Amino acid sequence: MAPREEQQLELNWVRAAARGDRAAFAELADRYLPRLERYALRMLGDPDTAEDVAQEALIKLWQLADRYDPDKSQLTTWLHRMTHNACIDQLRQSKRWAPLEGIDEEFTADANAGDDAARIAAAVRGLPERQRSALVLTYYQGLTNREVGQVMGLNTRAVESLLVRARQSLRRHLEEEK
Amino acid sequence: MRTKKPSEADVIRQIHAYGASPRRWSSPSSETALLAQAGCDDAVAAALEQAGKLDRSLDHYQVHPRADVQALLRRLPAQAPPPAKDWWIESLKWFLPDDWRLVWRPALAGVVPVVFGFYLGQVVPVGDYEGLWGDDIPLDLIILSQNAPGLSWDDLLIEQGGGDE
Repeated sequence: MAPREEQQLELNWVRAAARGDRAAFAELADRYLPRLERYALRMLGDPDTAEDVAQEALIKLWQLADRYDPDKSQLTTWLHRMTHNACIDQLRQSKRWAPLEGIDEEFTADANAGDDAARIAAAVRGLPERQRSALVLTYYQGLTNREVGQVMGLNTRAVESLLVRARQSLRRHLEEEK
Repeated sequence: MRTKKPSEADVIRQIHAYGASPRRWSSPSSETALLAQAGCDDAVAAALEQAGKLDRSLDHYQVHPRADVQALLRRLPAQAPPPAKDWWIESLKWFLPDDWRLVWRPALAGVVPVVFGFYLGQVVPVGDYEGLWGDDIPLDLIILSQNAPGLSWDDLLIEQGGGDE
C-alpha cells in the first residue's frame, strides 16, 4: 500500500476510534504497540516499564483521538512523541540512566558477558538520554531527522549533531573494549 | 532544477550521523550522496568502512516486545472517548481562532475591571447621595417653572413662602 493510502487508512481508524470503535483502535494498536514498545525497551531497558509506557501512549491516543489533527503531525510522530516524553519522565524518576563516561553496574555486567548483542545493548543504554533517543529513533525506529526533531523538540541540525556524538561515543567505547 | 553537488565534508557528515547505508541518510541528500559514493575518495571510503562496522554492531541489538494488544484493550477506560462534536460546535470553531487564549484572555481583560468596579462601588463609599435627596426641593416649583415661563424662580419662591409670612 502506498504511504499516502496507509496514512488515510490510519486516519480513518483514528476517526473511528474517536467515536468509540474498539476494533478500529485494535488495528492501530496492532500496528503501533510493538513499534512503540521496542522504542521504550531500548530507551528504558526494562520490559515491564517499556510495555507500560507504550500502552500508556496508545491509551492517550484513545482518549484524545478526536483532537488528533493530521495536518499538524503524522500519527507515527505523535505516538513516538508521547512515548518519548513518557520514557524521559521514567528515566528522570528512576535515574537509571548514566552517561557513557560513568559506567554503571548493569553496564559492566553486560560488558563482561562478552556477547556482542549484550555489549552493544549496554553501550546504547549507557549513552546520555538525548543521544540515545536520537540514535534509537533514527536507526531503529526508522524516523527521518525531521520527524526525530518533532519528537524531541529539536531542529534537524541539533538532531544530526546528537547522532554524530552518539555514534562517536559508541565507536570509541567499543574500540576501547577490544 | 540543478542539485548542488555535495562536498566531501557533507558526505562524511551524513555518514557520521546516519551510518553507512544511504537509505538511512536524510532524504534530501540521499540521491546526491549516492552520486558522491560512486566516485568516493579515500576519506569517504574510510568513513564508510568505520560506520559500516558500527552499523553491524548496532544490528546485533535486537529487542523483543511483548506487544500484548489484548492487555492494552483491557486497560482502555470503560467509557467511550468523548463523542465527536456537534456540527454547530464545529461551525463555531470555524469562526474562532485555534488558540482559545486569543479569545478568553481579551474577554477576561475586559470583564475583570468591570466586575472590580462594581465591587468597589458597593464597598467603598464615594459620596452622600441620600443626603442630597433629602434636600427640600419642592416638586411643584419645578412644575410651575416649566408651565409659567413668565415667572422667575424668585417669584415662585416668594409665592411658595408667602403662606409662612
